[in-house]
Amino acid sequence: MHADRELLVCDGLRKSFGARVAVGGLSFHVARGERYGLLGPNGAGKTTTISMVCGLLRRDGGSVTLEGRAIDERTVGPKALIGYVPQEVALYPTLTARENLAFFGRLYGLSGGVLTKRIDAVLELADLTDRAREHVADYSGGMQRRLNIAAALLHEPRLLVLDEPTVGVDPQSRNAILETVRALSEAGTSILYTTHYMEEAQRLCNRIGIVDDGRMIAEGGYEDLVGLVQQESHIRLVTDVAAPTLVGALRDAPGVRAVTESVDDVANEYDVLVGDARAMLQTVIAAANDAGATIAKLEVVEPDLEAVFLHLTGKALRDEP
Amino acid sequence: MSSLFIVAGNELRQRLRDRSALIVAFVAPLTLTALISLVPFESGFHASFVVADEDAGILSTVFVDDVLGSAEIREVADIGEVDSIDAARREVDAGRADAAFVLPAGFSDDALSGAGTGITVVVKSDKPIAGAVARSIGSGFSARLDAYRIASQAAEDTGSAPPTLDSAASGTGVIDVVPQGAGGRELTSADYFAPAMAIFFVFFAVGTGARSLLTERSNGTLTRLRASPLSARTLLFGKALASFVIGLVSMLVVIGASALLLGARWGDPVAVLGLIVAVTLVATAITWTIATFVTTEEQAVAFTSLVAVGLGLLGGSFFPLALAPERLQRLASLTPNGQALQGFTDLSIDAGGAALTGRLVVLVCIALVVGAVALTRSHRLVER
Repeated sequence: MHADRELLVCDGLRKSFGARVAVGGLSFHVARGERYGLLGPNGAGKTTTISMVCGLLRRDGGSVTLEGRAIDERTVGPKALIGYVPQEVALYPTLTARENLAFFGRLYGLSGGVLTKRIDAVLELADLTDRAREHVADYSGGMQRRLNIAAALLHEPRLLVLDEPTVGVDPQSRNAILETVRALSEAGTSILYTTHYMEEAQRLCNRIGIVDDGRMIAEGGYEDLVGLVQQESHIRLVTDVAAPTLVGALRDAPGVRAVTESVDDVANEYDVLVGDARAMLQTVIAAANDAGATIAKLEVVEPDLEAVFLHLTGKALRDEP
Repeated sequence: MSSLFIVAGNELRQRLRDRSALIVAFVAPLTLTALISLVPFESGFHASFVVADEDAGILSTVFVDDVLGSAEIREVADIGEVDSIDAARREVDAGRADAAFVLPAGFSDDALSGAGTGITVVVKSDKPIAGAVARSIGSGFSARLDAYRIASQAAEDTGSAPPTLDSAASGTGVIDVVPQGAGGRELTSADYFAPAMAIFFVFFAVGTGARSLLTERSNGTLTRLRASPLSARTLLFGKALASFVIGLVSMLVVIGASALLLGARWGDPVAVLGLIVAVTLVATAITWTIATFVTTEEQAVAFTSLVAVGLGLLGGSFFPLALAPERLQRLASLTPNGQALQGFTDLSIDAGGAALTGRLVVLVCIALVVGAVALTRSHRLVER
């Protein structure tokens, strides 16, 4: 870790709510210009972590420094270096977009022509210039989300902290948000991005910290993380009708490490854990034939962050499909 | 300091967009004042009495003709005559009279000789004010008779001229149901209810500001504010400043409109402004304290309403305190509403200048004490 390159350093962050440990000694850093993702399931401690980073929550232990300046819940000045995008839309619905931005801009010391220019710039970035004088209450959900991000960019923060900004957003707005974040990063803004969508972390972040139960369980670039499960590939096999002996046949096949069966009214699906998936395809097909199963679909599942999480924790990253 | 005004300005802008807040702060107090003022304050009390003069002597005639027949009594009561105590009771029982006076046979002779006698007052239980007025008229006349006897005895002892019987009938000040101050000007309905409603509604007007932090929390903007370079204290004082300004403007609008439209008289503008500032400070402190004890906007609305109505009832916002029992009048002086309302009505009739300073001190002390409670607990509003 090069101190002169580090923008944000979090060391041993701890926070409990009663007996429940939300964050238990989490450490990470974000370098200048980096897009760092905190990936984890709901309840992993991501929001609690960035609440401590932004000085919104009193921590039980650990430290947060931004450009070498300590941040806690009493900090005032250094907070101007952060642009915070809350998980929920945090705007005044009875005010127009321009009025919202003017208020938040003034809180960061902007005024006069500079404020006007910055408002125009972020409205342009959020593609809301034409609707700037409408009340936020009249905006669609996607437009509110974009304005929610724009409000955090007015003062050109060094670090942009986004807490699951795409939850509940339509695919088009989601794409727009991700592209905006990427563009900001390329313009020099450092990003701290929390999500439970592995595709977003994979697509957006230079470095990813995988968190679970308030602990950092793995950290690195996408390739580094996937490398953790390179020796564990999956073959997904779907059959038309249930074949009672198929699971046993697959488990007995040489090179197969585990088989997970998922049978319902629509399809019979088998997840076969192997070492080298492509080399094992013939073996799996032969086992299916021996069991009298008709293969409807067969695919090699490339290792991804979901697999990494499953490998490290034994549970799925997301509850929903 | 500038951040404080930025927060206050944003709060005021939002309140101006909130029509319900405008109604509570301006429309409701004016409308209620106008409606209540439709009932003339001076004729708020009127009774129907009957008198049974079984004596027909010199003193009973004075009572019937000069006391009950006086212009002051006729202004507030209709007087009828019946033959006997039984007839008087029937009139009262049937509801045709609110109270009856019975002067027994031999009343004049017994009274003049100093023997025990008295006027019987028959009252109806569901007309307590009329009953109280009737008793006061009777006891007032008895007291004057005593004075007459003492004066007559003294004149006889000293050999001077004896007093006339007319002196026993003079003066009927016991029926002052209309509040009248030392300044001598009579209070009108608008004079009383305009400040009464302004004080009552200022709690609701400033309450919207106190609740706004709870609103900010529920819509997520509080988190964004706390992530900005803004201290918790600046945020709180900015919001409180906006509350105070809303309350102040609400009262000023009610004052101006009630003076122009309803003819309410407010008195010395500087003193009135002092009272407005003091009572708005109290209302701001009380509503902010309430906000620190609750967790939702709904709870804040409920508790603010409870406190505002309670203080309004005790403090005389809904009925003239002069009509209330003495115990309630004493209790009213312990409430900010009562102190402020008495101050406003005193100013309206050009009286109570000396007492005003004391009232201002009491109000400011209440604001400081309650405000200190709000301040020590205010971190809960921002951090929880």
